[in-house]
Amino acid sequence: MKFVVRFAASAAWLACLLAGTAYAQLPPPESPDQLLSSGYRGTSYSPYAGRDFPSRPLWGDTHLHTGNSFDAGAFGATLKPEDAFQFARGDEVVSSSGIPIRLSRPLDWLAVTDHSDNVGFFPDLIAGKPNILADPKGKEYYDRIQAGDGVGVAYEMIGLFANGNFPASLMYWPNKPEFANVWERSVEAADAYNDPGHFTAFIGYEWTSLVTGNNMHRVVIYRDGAEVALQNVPYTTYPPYGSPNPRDLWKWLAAFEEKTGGDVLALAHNGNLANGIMFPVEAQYDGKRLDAEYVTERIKWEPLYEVTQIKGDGEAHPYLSPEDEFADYETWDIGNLDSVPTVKTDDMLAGEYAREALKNGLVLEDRLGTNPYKFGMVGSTDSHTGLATAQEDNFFGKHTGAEPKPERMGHPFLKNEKGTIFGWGMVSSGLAAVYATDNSREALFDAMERKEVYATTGSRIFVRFFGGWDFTDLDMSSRNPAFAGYQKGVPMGADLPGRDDNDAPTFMVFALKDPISGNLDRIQIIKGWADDDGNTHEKVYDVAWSGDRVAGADGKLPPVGNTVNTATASFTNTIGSAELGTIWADPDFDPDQRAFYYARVIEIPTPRWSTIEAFRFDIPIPDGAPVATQERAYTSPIWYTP
Amino acid sequence: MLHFVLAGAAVFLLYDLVSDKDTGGVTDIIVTRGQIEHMASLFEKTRQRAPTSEEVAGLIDNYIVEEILYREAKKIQLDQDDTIVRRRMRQKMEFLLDDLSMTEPSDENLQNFLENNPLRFVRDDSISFEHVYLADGSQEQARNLLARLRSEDITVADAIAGSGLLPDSFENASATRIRGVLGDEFATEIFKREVGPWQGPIESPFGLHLVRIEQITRGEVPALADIRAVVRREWQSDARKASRKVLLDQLRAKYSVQIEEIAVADQ
Repeated sequence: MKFVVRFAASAAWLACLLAGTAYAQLPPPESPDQLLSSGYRGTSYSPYAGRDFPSRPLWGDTHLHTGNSFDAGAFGATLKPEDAFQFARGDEVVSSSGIPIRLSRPLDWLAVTDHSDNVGFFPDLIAGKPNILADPKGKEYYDRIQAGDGVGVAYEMIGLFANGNFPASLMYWPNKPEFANVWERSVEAADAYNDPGHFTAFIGYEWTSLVTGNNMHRVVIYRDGAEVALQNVPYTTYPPYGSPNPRDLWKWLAAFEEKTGGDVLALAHNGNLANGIMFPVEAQYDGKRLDAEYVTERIKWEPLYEVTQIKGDGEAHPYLSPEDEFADYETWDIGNLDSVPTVKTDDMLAGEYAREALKNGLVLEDRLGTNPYKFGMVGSTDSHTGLATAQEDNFFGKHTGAEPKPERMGHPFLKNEKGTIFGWGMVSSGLAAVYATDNSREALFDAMERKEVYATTGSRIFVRFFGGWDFTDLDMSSRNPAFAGYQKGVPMGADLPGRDDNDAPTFMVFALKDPISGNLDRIQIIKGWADDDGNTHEKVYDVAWSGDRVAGADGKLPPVGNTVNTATASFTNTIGSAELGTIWADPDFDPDQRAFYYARVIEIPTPRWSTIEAFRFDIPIPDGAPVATQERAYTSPIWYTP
Repeated sequence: MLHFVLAGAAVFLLYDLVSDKDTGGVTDIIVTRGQIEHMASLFEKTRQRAPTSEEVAGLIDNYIVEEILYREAKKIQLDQDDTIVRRRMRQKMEFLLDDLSMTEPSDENLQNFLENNPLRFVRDDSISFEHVYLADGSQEQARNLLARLRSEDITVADAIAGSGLLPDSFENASATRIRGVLGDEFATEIFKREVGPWQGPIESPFGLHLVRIEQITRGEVPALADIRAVVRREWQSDARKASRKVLLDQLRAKYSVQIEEIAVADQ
């Protein structure tokens, strides 16, 4: 078994160092080139000079609703996109239910993705338009604003409005061309808060396709700003303006790019509430068989999948992955999203979970020529509070009715004869980590398109994952192993480069803990492949772990332990490791089989949000609620094609 | 550009467009040309092409069905005490209030705002340093290593080679970034230190760090000219919140609120 917990060289080195062994002085180099040994991978002495790859993940959320979303408003959300961006960049705000809140650390970027909803209002401009200047009151306001008295004018108008005396001549009708809407507000807010280099605010919306309660929702994200985004309004799901069929959304996206020259992408979420129709293999929800068009368009427009969020984790399901003891993580599987959820049956699960879709994609590629499910993975919250919260001790829930209060854990969320998901079942998840070269819309979007992204369930675990054909342990014995990662291989989200001999692929994976969360339990590599008969398989390999644990007869590594104290909702970092990494070669490689590999990094158990909530309000932990959680990161896969 | 947004209360009058006179048990629905144009334009903005005449007929029919059901629903008061309808109305009012309160500040407004709120605009401190860390070492071991680094008894490259996976140096990294990677305590401590030779150890969740600080840049408040758009955005955000409150207070003044007493059972 190969594994490196820190580096083999490290202990010996430390002993040597501490014993005071003298190191010989190097003679001065004759030319700078000679300074650089053959083992060193930089082209200049400074390894950072000319570096053109991303050095760190930028943390964000692709999927957040505010009070501008109709349903969020109906749940009482009053925060607007402005508040959402302020909160995400690190400001303290007051939640819709009146509780002050702040993030432990700012996010680097955020997409506010309110539901596409064309009902809106007016804002109309006085910027000297003739129809305004033709009106005496309009002219007066205009002149006063020009003279710098905008504030005075605003207060005067507020007074007039409050008393019902607003000048009728200045009112605009909603069906005039000047009519704007909620969409414009969201777009303008994103542009206002987009601050390249510091904080990126994406324009986006959610296309909320729900067919008889089966969730096929997609979030749409724009690379560009208002001048491009406002050339259209978001696509909707109800005829005659829209359609619930993803094929129609893809057509819309294509037409949008064609018309505007802009760049957009879509990502789906909550396959777990789709009752089998999120990742079809034979035919889509309306009976239409998958064809070459479906598979090419799907992966063209949907390079990512939101694999974990508040309404359940969607990486794997225990029915589909019975050998994976970590598969049953925050599973929501009673049914779909109907008001009384239609009961889920086992046969639906294969069309719902990310790992299964990644596997089925290999078979579809064989059958139809393109893998429709060759997606990267991110996490996001899908919160409807305007607050992107995914940290266990700072979790503000799915919607405003589920913000912190003693009763929230007991409220039923979804209920049918198969079971009930209570408020405590909400998952304090997730986050999207993006390896972008800088913090801008363009760089982040491009990284999303090349799938150099990963998901976490809320913790800011740092993880790197590279695949290649000749990584060796030496590549890890540097403080900058990513240099070797990029030089000798490909990062997460990419295809393994062409193979030139019969050796198995090698992978470099390493992770650092979130400094304010639990230590790391283990790193696993998950492999999925398709055999010659079109059957799919998967295997989970433990590749690096803390301590001196040894796998048992069943091949399973023993659990890391548990330091969670339920009475005080606390834990200690006395188990686990702050950093883990290794080079791993696939021991079961078959060069004739399509395969993918992704890394899963698992933390030691820490108190789940429900345990922390019980402690803070001095109430019992609800029956059935797990006391602890093992936060995790899922990298985007690396694919092998024969 | 001077930009001033003005709201109209038009929505409340929308349904007056549709005449509703009673003619012997039959009620008229008149779909105006303006409405048809509006629907067609919405279709075009959404679908990115103009509707065909058949589709326009569909839009009109869809509108008529919606109008009939809306009126019938109102007649039997389905909108009464409906949480969603109430919240939707509230939401629309808030949109409207926000529009009313959106205004354009003068340079003087912005300059004053910047001067009165320097902490909102100050740039993050940043730091450049390299470090060596001992994941499992003791304070004494860290101090020994420090002495060797200072006396050049060991090369930095050799010392660094034994550390773990954290980057070996940070260049112009913001305080926020240092907190994110190495934790609050470490960040607070290192920013208290001075530029100079190897020093430490400073503790983080990853171990004991010896650091050589090359540069610390204290964040300053930029001039208005450099961050005008940011100050304007913040000013408008505050102005909106303030005027929302003013407007709500004015509306409240139009109501006399009486609250009946209830017995509250204290637990």
